[in-house]
Amino acid sequence: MERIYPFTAIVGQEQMKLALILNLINPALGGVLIRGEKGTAKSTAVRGLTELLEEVQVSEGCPFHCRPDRGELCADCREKQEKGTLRTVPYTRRVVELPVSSTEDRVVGSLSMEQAIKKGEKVFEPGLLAQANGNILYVDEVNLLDDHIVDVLLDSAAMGVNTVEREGVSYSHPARFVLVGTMNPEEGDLRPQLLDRFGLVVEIRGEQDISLRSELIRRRLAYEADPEGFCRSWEPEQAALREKVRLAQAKLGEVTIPDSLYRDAARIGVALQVDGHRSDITLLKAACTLAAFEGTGEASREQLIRVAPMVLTHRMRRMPFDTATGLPEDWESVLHD
Amino acid sequence: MTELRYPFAAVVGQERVKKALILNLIDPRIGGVLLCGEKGTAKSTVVRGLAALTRQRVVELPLNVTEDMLVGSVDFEKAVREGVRAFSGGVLERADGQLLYVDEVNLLPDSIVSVLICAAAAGENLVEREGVSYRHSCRFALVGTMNPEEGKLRPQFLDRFGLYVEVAGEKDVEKRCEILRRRLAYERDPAAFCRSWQEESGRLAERIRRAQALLRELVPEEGVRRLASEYVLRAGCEGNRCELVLVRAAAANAAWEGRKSVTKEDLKEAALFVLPHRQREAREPEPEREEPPQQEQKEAPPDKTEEPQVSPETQAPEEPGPERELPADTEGNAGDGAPPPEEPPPEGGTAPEEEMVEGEEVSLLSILPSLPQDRLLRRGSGRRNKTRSGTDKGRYAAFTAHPGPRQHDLALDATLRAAAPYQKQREHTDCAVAIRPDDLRFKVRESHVGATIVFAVDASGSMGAQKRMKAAKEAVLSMLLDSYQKRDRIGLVAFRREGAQTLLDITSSVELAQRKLQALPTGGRTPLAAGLYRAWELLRARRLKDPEMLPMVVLVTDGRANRPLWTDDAVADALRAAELIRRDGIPAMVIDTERDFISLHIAAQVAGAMNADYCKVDELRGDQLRAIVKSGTLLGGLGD
Repeated sequence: MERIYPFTAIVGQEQMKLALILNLINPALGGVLIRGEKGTAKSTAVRGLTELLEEVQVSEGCPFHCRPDRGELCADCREKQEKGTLRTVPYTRRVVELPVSSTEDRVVGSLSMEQAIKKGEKVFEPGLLAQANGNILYVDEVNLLDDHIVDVLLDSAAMGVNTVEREGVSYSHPARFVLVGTMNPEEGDLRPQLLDRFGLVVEIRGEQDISLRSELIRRRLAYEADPEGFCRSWEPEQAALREKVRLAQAKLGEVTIPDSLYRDAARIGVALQVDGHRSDITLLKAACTLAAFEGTGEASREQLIRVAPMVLTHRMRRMPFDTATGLPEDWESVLHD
Repeated sequence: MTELRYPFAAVVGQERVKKALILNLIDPRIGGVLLCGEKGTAKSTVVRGLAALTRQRVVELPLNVTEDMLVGSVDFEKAVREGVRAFSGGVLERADGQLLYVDEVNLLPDSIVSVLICAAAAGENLVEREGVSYRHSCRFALVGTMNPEEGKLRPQFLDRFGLYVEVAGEKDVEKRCEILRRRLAYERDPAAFCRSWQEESGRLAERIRRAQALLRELVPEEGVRRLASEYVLRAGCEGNRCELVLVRAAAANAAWEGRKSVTKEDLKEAALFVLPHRQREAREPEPEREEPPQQEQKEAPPDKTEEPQVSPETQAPEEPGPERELPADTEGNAGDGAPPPEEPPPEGGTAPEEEMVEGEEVSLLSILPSLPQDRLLRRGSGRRNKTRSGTDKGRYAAFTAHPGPRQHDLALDATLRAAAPYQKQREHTDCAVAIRPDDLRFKVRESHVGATIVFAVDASGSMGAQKRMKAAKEAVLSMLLDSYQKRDRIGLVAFRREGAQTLLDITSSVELAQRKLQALPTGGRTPLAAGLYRAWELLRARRLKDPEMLPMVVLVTDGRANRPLWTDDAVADALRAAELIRRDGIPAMVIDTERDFISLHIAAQVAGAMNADYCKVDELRGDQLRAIVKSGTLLGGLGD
């Protein structure tokens, strides 16, 4: 199998990398949308996540790889659990790709043709959303996705459950995934509702610094000449990052939030006139996750401000053509009112 | 799912949302709630939390539902095994007597909406398909949530929701903090969080049960009913259901407050839930003035006819008897079932209650949220919405035995159902089901058809004068804004000097179009014919690729054509190019930027040749322009 370009070997694009890592640590952040021009390592970074994902225990033979330790089980697994026959096997989380040309029945699942014709039985054949449960669902060129596929994605992203009522089958299964999308804004925009579902959004551009650019080319050529050797030489960095992520995951639950930080998040929400409350919640969660990643026991205002652009840019009420981001230059003044 | 949902009682604020839902639990005949508001305001959370408070179930209708799963169909498993044609119920059967919940209800496909409307109107689901005939009672409270940014609802559908609540986020910092605290606490440990709210939830459920019991003894008096009618008439609402729902909601409110009689306050509170989405005409947000009759007349001029017709089922009172199928035939109701709501209210003193009503009325109307229709109701031709697509693109909506030339998608479920009853007689290979060619069914798909609009913008020297270009850019920008929401595709052609230039090939990136437009320089002569011709070429090429698109040309010019394309006469050439566009049946609009005292009227002539809508740029400030595009006159009037 072809080796994937190592995540840690990507030059620059720190915001993007941070956003992805935060989502690895805390799947509840709601995913990442990466907006940027062509050839800025968007897809490389997302695919590179594969090697950073951890091994977990999932129930044996379950098409949704339910995790008994997380408590969200499909109907079959629940039945097994009640009978005491639920067994677990190790499973490495992965990146599931949803191609832009996907049809709805492949995404949500459908009637199994084989079972129906051979045995005359009505059996649900799981689709991509089933594969995505507990994993990362990656949509390249997410802005080109058909509207009705987007609707279906929204439906299950919101609830973490995929409810199917189609083609003679009626079925419901857990579908909790980290949604990662990449897009080139020149090819059209995303609908506001889908945009809001992405916890974080990062805008990226090609690196402008000459020395960084030449480093980038050097690494890329080295990788293409000898993928195996290149990946081996990056393994220590990869291992270090994996370890750091794992540690952060363990610590996440213990990060404390000072009282003042709740107020800060609420103030920002009011001052910037964001729609609804999802951004306040994501802001705090992202700050906590960053604190876990950086090993501080308590989330700080400084960390909150650092994640704020990723959380807020796409949620501000602005006319579609405003080029200004509308983010305040001086956060302290917003928070001191 | 056994998962622990965020408790209803723990939702901070959103009192009106909670109230509307509770009223429906107390009396399900109210007919449900539509929650409309910006994203991230706990709309879905509140609804999903309801299940814990009542014996009713919350049956969810996912957006991916197909028609047969909604109404029910032949159970092919049974058919194959036992050779019987048995009916297997759909979502509607499960929803009988329950709450039917549709998240993002405005994204529901049209075909599904039609079925829902019929079922809700008749109170039963009548299935005649695939050789089965079946009917079952189907009464449900319809609960929907929607974000108006994403699309609107059909009027008949809107009327099916008993109550309406607009949802907005909390603006108060303290409350926002509390929301954050609770949400994070819940996410950290859902079980513990739910336990800590158990007592509160129990209290709430108990109060609802008491209210349900109380409601049975509660009969609204004559005066209350009259007042309700009065409210409905004055608010200019459609149909009789409105009054019925209003009285019921008021009664439920009284029961919730533990009262045995319905008061004016109950009615007033209920009116704020019942009336807003049913008002026929958009009211101006009016200051509180003390002259109701005149205002009423202004609100609802009787000559407005572009409103959608009231369909028979919306006029139906749904109360009497489950045996009635379609209420259009209800003789007794024909008279008062359709009082033209525009009718001016009695000029005074017709009923003794009038006096008691008068003062209340004005204040009620002034606190009703104005114009929800504009955000909710879908107007226009509807051609920019979902349509049956005749191709392999789009979502699977229904099936057919007689596919068009470009429908190749096998609808497996329908095919199996068609084949199932004959399995006993047929010869089998190693498969359980033997399928013959005449069993084959194909998918009928629905897809979104947006418009493809090419803007042809005059960038000649004459446009530089008198801020014409600025006005033109503003006009185009505001139209782009609308396209952004509708997800239309757009192209941009500029013409100046020697010819036309395609600034932007057809794309869905409105943002890019805007950038190109901002940077557009002016100068030189006016090759109007070349501009039009290029626009026509762009659309024609596109049409070859996508025959189902809805093309449109918007021409922005001062009409001073002075650079010919084919002959020596620039104006004649422009007219000829316009003729091309008309002949292809491409709808068009001309925005004339000419502001001179002595007008040449060439733009108007070109508009005539294209059979286009014509307007002066000065008549069109940005917001008005948007309104025109929105109301659909542009596409509706020229659609065919």
